[in-house]
Amino acid sequence: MSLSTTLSTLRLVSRIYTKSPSTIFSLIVITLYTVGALATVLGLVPPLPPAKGGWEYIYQPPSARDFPWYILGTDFTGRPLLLAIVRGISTTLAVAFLSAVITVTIGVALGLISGYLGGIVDEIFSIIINVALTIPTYLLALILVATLPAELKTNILVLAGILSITAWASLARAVRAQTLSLRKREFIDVAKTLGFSAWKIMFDEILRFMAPFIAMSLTLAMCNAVYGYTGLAFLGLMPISSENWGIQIYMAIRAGGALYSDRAILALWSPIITIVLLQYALINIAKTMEAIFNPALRVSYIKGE
Amino acid sequence: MYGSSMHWIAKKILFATITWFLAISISIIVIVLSPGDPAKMLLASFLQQGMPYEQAVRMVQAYLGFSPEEPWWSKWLRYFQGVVTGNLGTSISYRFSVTHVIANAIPWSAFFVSYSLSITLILGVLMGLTMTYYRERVLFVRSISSILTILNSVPNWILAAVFFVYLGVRWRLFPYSGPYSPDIQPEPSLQFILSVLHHYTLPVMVMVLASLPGWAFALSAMASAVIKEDYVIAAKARGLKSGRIITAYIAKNSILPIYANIALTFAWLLVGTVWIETQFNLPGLGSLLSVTTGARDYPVMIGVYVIIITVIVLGNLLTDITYGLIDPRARVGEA
Amino acid sequence: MNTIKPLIEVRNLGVSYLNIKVISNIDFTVFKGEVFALVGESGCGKSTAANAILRILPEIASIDPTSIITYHKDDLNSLNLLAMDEQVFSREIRWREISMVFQGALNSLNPVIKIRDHFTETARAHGIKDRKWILDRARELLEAVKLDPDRVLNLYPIEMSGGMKQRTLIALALLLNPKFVILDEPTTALDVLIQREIISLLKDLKNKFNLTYMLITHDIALVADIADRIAIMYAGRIVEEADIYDIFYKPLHPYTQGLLMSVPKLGEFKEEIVTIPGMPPDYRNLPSGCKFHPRCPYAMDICRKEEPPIIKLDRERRIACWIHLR
Repeated sequence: MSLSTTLSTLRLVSRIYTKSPSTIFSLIVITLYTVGALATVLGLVPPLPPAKGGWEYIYQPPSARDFPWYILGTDFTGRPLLLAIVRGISTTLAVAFLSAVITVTIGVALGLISGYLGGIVDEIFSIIINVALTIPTYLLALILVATLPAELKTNILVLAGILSITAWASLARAVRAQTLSLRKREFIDVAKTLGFSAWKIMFDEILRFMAPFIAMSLTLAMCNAVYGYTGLAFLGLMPISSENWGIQIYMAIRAGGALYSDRAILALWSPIITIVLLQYALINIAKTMEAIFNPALRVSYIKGE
Repeated sequence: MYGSSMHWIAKKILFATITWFLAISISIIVIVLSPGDPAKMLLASFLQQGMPYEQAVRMVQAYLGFSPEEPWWSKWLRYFQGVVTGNLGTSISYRFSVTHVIANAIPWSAFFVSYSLSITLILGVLMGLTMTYYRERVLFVRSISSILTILNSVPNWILAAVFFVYLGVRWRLFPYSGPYSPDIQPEPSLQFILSVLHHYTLPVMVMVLASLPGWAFALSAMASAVIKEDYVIAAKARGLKSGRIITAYIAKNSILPIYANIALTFAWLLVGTVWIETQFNLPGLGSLLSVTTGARDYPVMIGVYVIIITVIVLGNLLTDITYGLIDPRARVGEA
Repeated sequence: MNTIKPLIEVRNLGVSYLNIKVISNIDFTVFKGEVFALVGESGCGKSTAANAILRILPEIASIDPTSIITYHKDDLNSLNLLAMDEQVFSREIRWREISMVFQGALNSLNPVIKIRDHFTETARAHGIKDRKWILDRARELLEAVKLDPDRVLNLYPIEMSGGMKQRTLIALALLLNPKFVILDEPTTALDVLIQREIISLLKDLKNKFNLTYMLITHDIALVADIADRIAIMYAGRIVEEADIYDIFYKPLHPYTQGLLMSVPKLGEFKEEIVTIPGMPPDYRNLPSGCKFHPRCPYAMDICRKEEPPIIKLDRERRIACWIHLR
């Protein structure tokens, strides 16, 4: 892509993204989370202090101690809640991002090859895709995570893999459909006449055409992965850890008496808001990307609908 | 025409069976080959309890239907044999056959999911049509849209947890535990039915709210495209009233393309029961799955999984077949 | 055959899509019993004019408040169609007095209901509840358009050919015995043989049911077969209006001449097809003065500066061109 087309694409992208307050908000949220994750990984965020059981320590009200980590009080292990949540960002985003990358890679590859090559390859891949579509991701993931030995349950790569186990299926189907229709378009014939190999056509021409759609799918896949990671933890399938937001919510209800008193209310709502904000931001960004992908929507976006 | 539609239905059933077979097989193989192979895990836990090796192996075989010593393909074949003959093993926690345990749970989930699905579809379609047809009332539509977007960002299990804590336990607005009131007999009486409906209010609310945005937006998008079509303008030219145009023109043409989404929503709701039935202490496939997962009751876990996949395949098949019957465009050649 | 009574009088019709003016205050009259044709390139505003009469313009369209469309229902009643209440208009005028035959190749029929339902719902919307009457009438009309009613009534649009759909739309347009039928591109996208049949059919129906037609088309050859009077539109304006003989044998406006030259005549062997040079106008950026001047071989200085007013020459002939003004 030449420099001028890249620049004009970037200009269009930034124009669309700065148009409405909700997308600006979403971008800010994502930036904040990314900063938090990086800070944790780089060691700029202090490690969690040792757990302290006992009613005097868990679910303490906010205090100014060791600012800012105790402004949300303590969690079910007596540790600072805000710190636990912030530290959780990196694991969650890592699992989400990795899972999304795996999902999108497999989905796009299968869909592209299946749609472009056609014939027996398409038949076989279509059967595989159909079977994967039938298996709900979280269902199989639930069983796999449940049966997993303890040491693998905290492995980010393993978790990411499990969460994407059949998640690529609907993407593969969509990519295949798009490839099938694109295959008949003129610019492919031109490329063929110019002697480009099948692989080059697939991965250069068609992929470039679908780039915004792929970006959108990546974002949505991350969304789904966050849902799965926190959701399965909420069921009690992951080892207990302060850094997992799902576990925090679970504990706030079971152990924190959120059912009866307001003592654990911060521990209940803070992780909820953390999750919901992330999901909202991701979905919003994905929807905005769709405007780039679909020029008909682009017009209404710019008009301010 | 009759002959060809039978042929086409038979073809669809064949494909569905193949898909089902492959889905179950691949899942079993993946499960058996994973580091968390249930046979191995069960064996390990029996051995940990001090059981002698030989006996442990036999116990595993008795519960799961296959032995931890068999190679993976043998385990798969043996289990599949069981699936086809209706023997899914024996439950470790309940001591009944897995089939028996599941059979008791299915009716509850079936009720729960169909109830939620119908309300979701009706409300989703209404909301979607409203958002499109009244798009001039920008503020109104935009507020609905914003609420739905936020709702869309909340995972269904969080919604369930919040509703449970606040609407249920704390504010006592609705019952939050069990499928019916404990002082009513489970017999087909009006009292019983009303109690069940009452106890399912909160869970169904959660299910509906969680899946509503998807439907409302999908329908709204379709309807926005349909409303610009020539046949809608032509209908107006003929003097047709809004009521007729909304139902026979806009609604019908918007719902049909996303009819297949019904099967998807159904599968999604079914998976959602895992969290929601557990949260509200309701009997059903979902809570069965989560409870037996915690209890390491592998035969039931895998059995529920197999049943859920089967139900999903049946749901897809049903949607597929009925679609051809209601959309005239589908019959003229397979698009 | 031709009475001198006007049926529809369009005065000062101006239509804008958002802030782009697509019809600039045109006037024309359709007389009772005639076939009046509105001819022009795609986008010149002819379909918009037709849609304005039936009030089915899209949401983004707005009509000038000074526009008047008068419908002379009978000797005693003349109605301003644009000023009528929507409900009343829909009930009394749409399809009862004025109907429209849409382009059959387009999606003008609801794909998910049967043809029979199209007829019954239209009748019911106008208060006719007698199902038997509706179906009998539908049968009568389908036979009049040379279709087999028993077969067609049970079909879905997807099961029909373009020609069948066009005939059905004609039958549908006549359901409630209108006086005035607008034909919007009734033969486009049909093959030539079917085109001839449809034109012939339309002529028969006109005589049989005493109809007045307004024909909208870009196909000037089609017009020769059926029209009595023609108005040529360009860039939202009427540039020439005359009876059919004058248009074909003595075209005055350069645009009209260009349109006629681009149609090959049977028996004539031409080396090249002569087309009008240049591009259709961009409505957001119309040229100054006469809108046709960039493409006109006779363009003068005044054509670039001022837009020619439409003036009446002789015998109901009108023209908007500086060449013919003194």
